[in-house]
Order: sequence, then C-alpha cells, then structure tokens
Amino acid sequence: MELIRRAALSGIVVGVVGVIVLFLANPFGGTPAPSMDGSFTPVAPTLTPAAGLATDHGLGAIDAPVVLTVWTDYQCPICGTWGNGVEPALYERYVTEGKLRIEHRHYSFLGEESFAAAVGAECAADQDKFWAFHSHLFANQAGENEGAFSAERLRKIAGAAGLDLVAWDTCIADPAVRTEVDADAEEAKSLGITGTPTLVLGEWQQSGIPSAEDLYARIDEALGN
Amino acid sequence: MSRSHRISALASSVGVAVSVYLLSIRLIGVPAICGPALGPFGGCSKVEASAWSSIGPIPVAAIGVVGSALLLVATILHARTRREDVLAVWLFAALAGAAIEIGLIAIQAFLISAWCVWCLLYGSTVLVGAATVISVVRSYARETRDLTRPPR
Repeated sequence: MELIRRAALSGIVVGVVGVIVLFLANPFGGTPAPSMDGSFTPVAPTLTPAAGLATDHGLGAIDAPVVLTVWTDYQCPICGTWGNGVEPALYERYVTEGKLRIEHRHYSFLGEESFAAAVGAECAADQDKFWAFHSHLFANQAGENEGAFSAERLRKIAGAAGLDLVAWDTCIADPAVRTEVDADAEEAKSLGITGTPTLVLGEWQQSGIPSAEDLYARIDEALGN
Repeated sequence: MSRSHRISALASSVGVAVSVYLLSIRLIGVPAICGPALGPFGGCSKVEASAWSSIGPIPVAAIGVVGSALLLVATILHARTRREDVLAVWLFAALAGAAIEIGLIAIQAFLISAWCVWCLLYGSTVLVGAATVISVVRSYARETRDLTRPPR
C-alpha cells in the first residue's frame, strides 16, 4: 500500500502544479489586452475594396452570379481569420472578376461588445460605409469583452473608417438599430446556425472555415465551372 | 472486468473522443459544435479563444488526449493484471487529471465567465474516472488488510 499512498500524493501534487502552471501561462500565452489609455489608433484592414464594389452589407457586384452569405460575430477569432484572410483572398479571386458577392449577416452572441460592434456596423451601413467599418472591426479584434470594442474604441474605428461621427453617434443610440441586430440573431437561430462564422452558398451551409480548395471548388461549381 | 473498471474504461474512452475532437477542430481552425443554442453551456468560442486553452504552444486538448489515453490503458491493464504498480500509475494519472480538471472548471467559472459543453463533458469523464479508481483502491486496501490481518 505504500506505493499506492505515494502515487496518490504524487498525483495530487502534479495536479496542483499543473493548475498553477495553467494560471501562470495566462499572462504569457494570452492575447494581449487592448490598451485603454486613449492612445488607441485603429489598425487599417488588409482589404480596401475598389470603388463601387462595397455596397449595402455586401462586397461585390449586386448582380454577381454567386452570393455567399456569411454570418459572423465581430469578436469571434475565427471570424477574424475569415475577415482578415479569407475575404481578401476571395476578393482578389472572384469579387474583382464580378463573379461573387459576399453578403454579411450579424450573429452577435459573444457579448455586449459584439452587439455594440454590430450596431456600429449597421450605422456605418446607413452612411454606405458598412464594409469599411466591418473590415476595420476585424482588423482591430483583441480578445473578447475586454474593451477592444468599447464605445470609445468603436468611435475611433468609425473615424478611421471615414464615417460622419455626429450622424453615427445619433444612429447607435437609436433602439431601432439594436432591434435590427437582434432580428439578425433570431434569424440565425431559426436557420439552425449554432456558431460563427457560418457560410451559406445556395443549399450548402457550413460552420467554420473550409479549406481554400473546398471553398473555391464550391464557388466554381456554383459558377458552373 | 469489474464494474468500476468498466465505468472507468467508458469514461476514459469518452474522454479520448472528446479531447481528440477538441484538438482536431483547434488544429483545423473551425469552431466547435456549440453556440448559443446550448444556453449557458454554449460559450465554447469564448473558452477556446481564451488564454487558458493552451499552455504555451501546447493546446490543453492535446494534454487531455494523452491523459485520457493513459487512464484508459491503465484501466484495461489493471483489469487484466491486478498489479499494484499499475494501480499506482492509474491512481496517479486520475488524481493529477482530476486536480487539473477542477482548476479548469474554476477557470471557466471565475476567469473566463463562460462554459463550454465539451470541456464540461470532458471534465466529467475525468472526475468519474477518478471516483472509480478511488473505489478500486479502497477495495484493494480492504483486501490487502484482510490478507495481512492475523487469523482469529
């Protein structure tokens, strides 16, 4: 039984040390908390669409033969990968060719900052600058509900996206805009969407980011190639 | 195989499956099947995006795969051999895993403020596994005491 006693003691000690390592790993391994000292300067997005290609909530020609609908939450890190990496790739490959339109929908479920960001995006849409604000949001993601999309920072992002801040301030205070964002989330639920990003292309719906080959193949198939 | 061994083997198998799933979606870069439809347990994206989902470059899910696989192997080996050294390894892994799992549950509750259904399912397999090995150790202790006690 001595061996068993030693094993029990060692197991508990190793477990407790493991928990301590986990706690200590946080400050070194985590996403850095956004600066709250007022010195925040929004990072520019990787994609700046050509004139006329970013309209309403979409990117691409209105009459593009294929429409890809993407449901995202602005704080979701994989949505950030989508917005900062995949969307620019699709833009270069299909959107500039007039073959694809990417439509954005909100599914803001990660907290109040997601919701506030989506409300801000709706108000940017009122000024025909949805995509500029949308891509600035993804470029400036930093953690979840840690202040990256605080009111002050969203306003700076709005400024960087070229919005009329007086009109934007008035708009984000309008309860009707919040209702619109809520309605998007309700529609997502009704469609059975449980996570973000969720892509919808015709009958095909997928949660997460597929491989580039798979996504291109599906778009090409929808294009009849 | 005793009832405790069967329960532990089942719990460890589920633990391996859940941790392999969590590790693979992390490596592929897709979100877990989770989300607000699961109510308070749908915070998988938030938990996965937190700093506590990895220790340096090692995802916590990878540690879970190794831990549950070790528990499964130890359970099966002990069921077949009843060796004390195997029981010691099983107990060591189960108690270390249970302590870490309690820490992870506390992190979800107090630091991340979100619950992930997959993490909780995995945690329950580890805690069930720990409870069963303790039960086996108690039986072993009783048997050992009975054998060493002088006959009346």
